[in-house]
Formats: sequence, structure tokens, C-alpha cells
Amino acid sequence: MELTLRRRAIYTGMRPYFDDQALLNAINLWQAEYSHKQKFALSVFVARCCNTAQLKLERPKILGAIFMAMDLASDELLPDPFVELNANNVFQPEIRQGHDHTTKVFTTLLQQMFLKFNKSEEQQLRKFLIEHLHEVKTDKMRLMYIREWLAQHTQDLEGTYDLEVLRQLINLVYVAMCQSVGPVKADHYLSQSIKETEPLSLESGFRLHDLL
Amino acid sequence: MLKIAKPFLLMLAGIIFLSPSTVMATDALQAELLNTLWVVIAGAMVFLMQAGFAMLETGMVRAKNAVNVMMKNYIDLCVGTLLFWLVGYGLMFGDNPSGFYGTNLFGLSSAPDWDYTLIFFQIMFAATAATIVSGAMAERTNYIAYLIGTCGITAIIYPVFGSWAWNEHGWLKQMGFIDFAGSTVVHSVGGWCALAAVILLGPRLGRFGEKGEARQVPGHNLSFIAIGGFLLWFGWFGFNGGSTLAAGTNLGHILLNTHIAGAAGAVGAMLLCFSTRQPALLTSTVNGSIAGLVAITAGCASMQVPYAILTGAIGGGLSVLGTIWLERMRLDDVVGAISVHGICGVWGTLAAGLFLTGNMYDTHQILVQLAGIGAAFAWVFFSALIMYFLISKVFGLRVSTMHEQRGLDITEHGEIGYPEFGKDVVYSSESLKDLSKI
Repeated sequence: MELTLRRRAIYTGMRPYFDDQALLNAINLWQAEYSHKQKFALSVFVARCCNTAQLKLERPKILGAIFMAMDLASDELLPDPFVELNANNVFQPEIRQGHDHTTKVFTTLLQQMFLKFNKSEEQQLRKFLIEHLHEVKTDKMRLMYIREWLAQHTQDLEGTYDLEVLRQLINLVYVAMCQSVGPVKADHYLSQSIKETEPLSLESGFRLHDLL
Repeated sequence: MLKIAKPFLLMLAGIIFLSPSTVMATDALQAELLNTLWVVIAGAMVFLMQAGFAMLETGMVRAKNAVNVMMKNYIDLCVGTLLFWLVGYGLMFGDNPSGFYGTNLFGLSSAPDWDYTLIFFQIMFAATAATIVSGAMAERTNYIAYLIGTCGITAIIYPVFGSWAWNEHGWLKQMGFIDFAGSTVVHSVGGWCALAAVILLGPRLGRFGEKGEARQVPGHNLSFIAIGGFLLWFGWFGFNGGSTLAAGTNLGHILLNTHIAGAAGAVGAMLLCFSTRQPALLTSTVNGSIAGLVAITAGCASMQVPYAILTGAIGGGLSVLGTIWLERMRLDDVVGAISVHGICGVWGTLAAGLFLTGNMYDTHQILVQLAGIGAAFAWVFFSALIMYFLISKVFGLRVSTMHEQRGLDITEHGEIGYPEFGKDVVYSSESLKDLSKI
């Protein structure tokens, strides 16, 4: 089950029990710490979300509702909370502000790396990244944007990010490439992708090697 | 008057120098001088093996880790030298009432000349045991952690086992264990330390695929590998020849056995490659010759030439098989040190018992050899495992994935091995398989 559908199922299952703010926090928590884990980890997730006496009593029901929602068809689920919340400008404006040169060069470099693989291999790389996003040291909101960008295959990544975060992400792709095609090809693909991104880097005045 | 006195004085001097007691004293002095000269020169030849290891290992890693491997080979000699003089020599050759470790001669600063000669020679052996590990751990090891490991090997692990086998009162020596120049004492010790380190380190990123298939990571300079092989081979004449600790008439036999086993090792490895339909790679051939040299090290002074050939050839074959076996076990030994030094060291030590001139295939001797081999593995492997485990917990043994991405030359030393070389080449090692045959 793809990330968006699972998110919608969690959202659908939890909606009757939580208010907007609590639900946003819960979805953030799930994405950051549980989206890459097996289904049985959901019981721990629900336990962490149920922090009032009332919610604690309803914990089995909430868990049941989530599992039921996971079996529903796509059109029976509530709309994606990420899109909804994003449209309502719930996320911090400083994260959402237009993408800068750094982000643009970063996304181009990553896309060049992805282009070295066929569709199914690329999907595996993206999956690896999503599963290891929790290792990247940044706030949950930014992780949500990155996760979304990776899952949706969209062109532009919204927001601004510290160089260290972008470096970690490139390193994660490098690790995934090593596992997929071996270290020799991974070095070669990285070097090729850098060359292909250099014109944009020169044009924008951002030093590409700051990302490496 | 002076004209008459001069021939008389010369005659008198001749009589004095040719008297039996004077001749004996002069002979003894000359023998000591010759022995010292030979052992010191042999020690200097063994020193050159460090250059051989450095070149061989550097050639086998990717260009982005070349400086790191050179540095490790250079500095482990320096650290090992100081620690072996301070602690190791005493543990290995000091008075040994228990049979398990020496108790004096630490940091020797005032001793007879011969002791200095021995320390100089033995330092080179200790450094050799330590440097064997560096190649196996290449491309993913924290530099400081590696150096701390080197300290442990040269100060404790190597000399303690050495005291069992080479100290006059060592328990293995007392049993009659034969390891003339160190197939086990030096090479297996290095090999088993490397095995412990490689198990704890894990393989390089992407070295093995999801299904366990081994992915080759070709070295960046095959010429370095060949030159490294030649240097090691040359140094081995000092390694085995110098172990006589005397300029005796048996040197020719020892050096011939050494040389011929090295040659047989290369041929053995090549034949095994052909017979198993593998390409006869330069790396396998050079490693084969080193495996032959490792194997003959224990018995070079005590077996006949045909058996030296057999010992070397089997050693060469074992180096190829050992590498395949390690890959199947998903153990990433970058230079093949475990199979060449560890496994072939075992074979060589066993062969020294099997082919002992005048006492071949003696069951008791073979059992003693097996006891020595087993004791070496038990002591070295487990103590190294504990040492590297502690190092990994305190300092971190393995570098981060970011270090592996950038290469250790940059991350550990801030240098680049080949700053002026372009990265675009027409024939990369990857494109070789797609080239049409001519």
C-alpha cells in the first residue's frame, strides 16, 4: 500500500476521535516514526497518541478503526490530510516559502541520479529513502515535505533546507545506489549526475559541491 | 736499525695473531660481526616489505582511498616500532618462567650489541604482523581506531603468541613446535586479527547484493599491485634468511626454498584459476606468490626443495579458494589477507611438520603443529575480536556512509591521492566486458 493511501487510512480511522490539531500531530508522528514500520507497530503509535483518559479507554476502537480503514477502497477514504492541511496553510510559512537555488540544485541532482535507473529501480530507491528518512536530522514538517516529494514524484520540492539535511539525503541515495548496483557504479553515477547538474549550479551561483 | 726492526715486528705480530687462542678469538669476533651484518641487512630487507604491503594494498583499493591505505601502512610501522620496543619485545623474548609471556627486557636501553640487533630484526616482524590487517580493513575503517588496533597487536597480541612459539621457554617451543620464520607467529596472527576486524566491520557499502552475490570492486592501480608483489618477494629473502640469526651455510637452501615456493604459489594459483574456468587475474597471481611465500615461511629451513614447491603450490591454490570461501561467507577482505596470510599460514605450519626432513609424516610432530595452529587461532582471533569490539564501542571502528561516499583520503586525511588526474576515461573497468574481442 502506497504512502498516501496509508496516510489517508490512518486519517480516516482516527478522524472521529481527534480534533484538528491533535490529528495533525498524530499524522506527523506516524509519518516520522511509524510510516516505514510494519503494521503491528500501529498499536504502539495509537498508544502514544491516546494521551487522555478518555482516549486511552477508546484505544482498541481507534486501532480497529484504522485497520478497517486500511481495507477500504481508495474512494471510500477521506481526502489526503497532507493536501488539505497544506492548502489551508497550516504548515509554518517559513518552511513553505518558495524554493531557493539550493533546493533547486539539490532536486535536479537527485533527479539526475534517479534517471540512471529504470522505473522500478527508481521506485526502489525512493522507497529506500522514505524508509530511512527518520535518520535525517530535521523537523517533522520538513520531513513531511520531503516524504511527499519522494512519494508523489513531483518536480519541485517545497521549502528551504539546511545544507546538512540535503547532504544527508544525497548520502542516503548514494547508499541506496551502492546497494542496488554496487559501489563502483554508484560512484560513477554520482560523478555523472554531478556533471549533468553543474550547468544549473553555475547559472544559479550555488556551489554544487556544498551538497556533497 | 729501523729497517731491521720492521720485518721483525711484523713477524712477531703474525705469530701473535696466528696463535691458536688468538685465532679462535678472532674467528668468534668475525662470526659475530658477520652474523650481525647479515641479520641487520636482513632486517632492512624486511623493512622494505612495508613498502611492498603499502603498494599492493593501495593498488587494490579505489583511488579515493589510496592515501588512507598508504598512511595506514606508513604509520603502523612507526607506532608498532615504538610499542614493540617498549612492551612487545619484553613480552616475547624476556625471561619466561610460566611459558606464556616474558617478564623483562621492556624498553631496553642498555644491552649487549647482539640484543639491539635482535630487537631491530624483530621489530620488522611485529610491524609485518600488524600491517597485514590494514588491507583487509581498507576503505571503511576509522583511521584512529585502526591505529589503536595496531597498538594492541604489536604490544600484546603478537608478542604474547610469539613468546609461546619463539621464546626459549615458551610452552609451544618446549613441545617442539616448528615455525622457523613465522607462518603462524607472524602471518596467521595478522590474518586472524584481520578476520576479527572484518567480521566486526562488515562489508563495504554495496559489496554484496541483496541475494548475497559478490560485487567486484576493482583496485585502481594494477601496476602498484605487481610492484608491491615484487617488493614483498624481495623482502621475504630477508624475512626467512634472517631468521637463521646467523650467516650460515644453509642460507642458500633457505632462500632457494623461499624463492621456489613463491614461484610455485603463483603457478598454483594460476592453475587453479584455469581449472575452475576463472580468469587468471593479476591480483590472484600476485596473491598466489605471496601465499606460497607465507606457506614456506615455517618450513623453509627444514624441508627439501621438492616439498617446498609442493607447499608453495598448495598455498597458492588455497589463496584462491580461501578468497572464494570468504566471499560466500559475505566477509569483505579487500586484499585477500585472511586467505593469503591466515589460511596459508595454517597450511605452511602444517606442511613444516608433514615434510620435516628426516622425520616426515611424524604423527607427534603433526599433532604439535596442529596444537600451535589451534592455539594461535584461539588466542589471536578472540583477543582481537574483544579488542576491536571495545574499540568500536569507544571510538567507532567503522566510518559513516558519508565517509565512504567521499573516500577516506578526504575525510580522514584531507588529501587527494591524484589531484591532477581527469575522471573521464575511455576504457573504464566497467566497460571492459562490453568490448569486442580482437
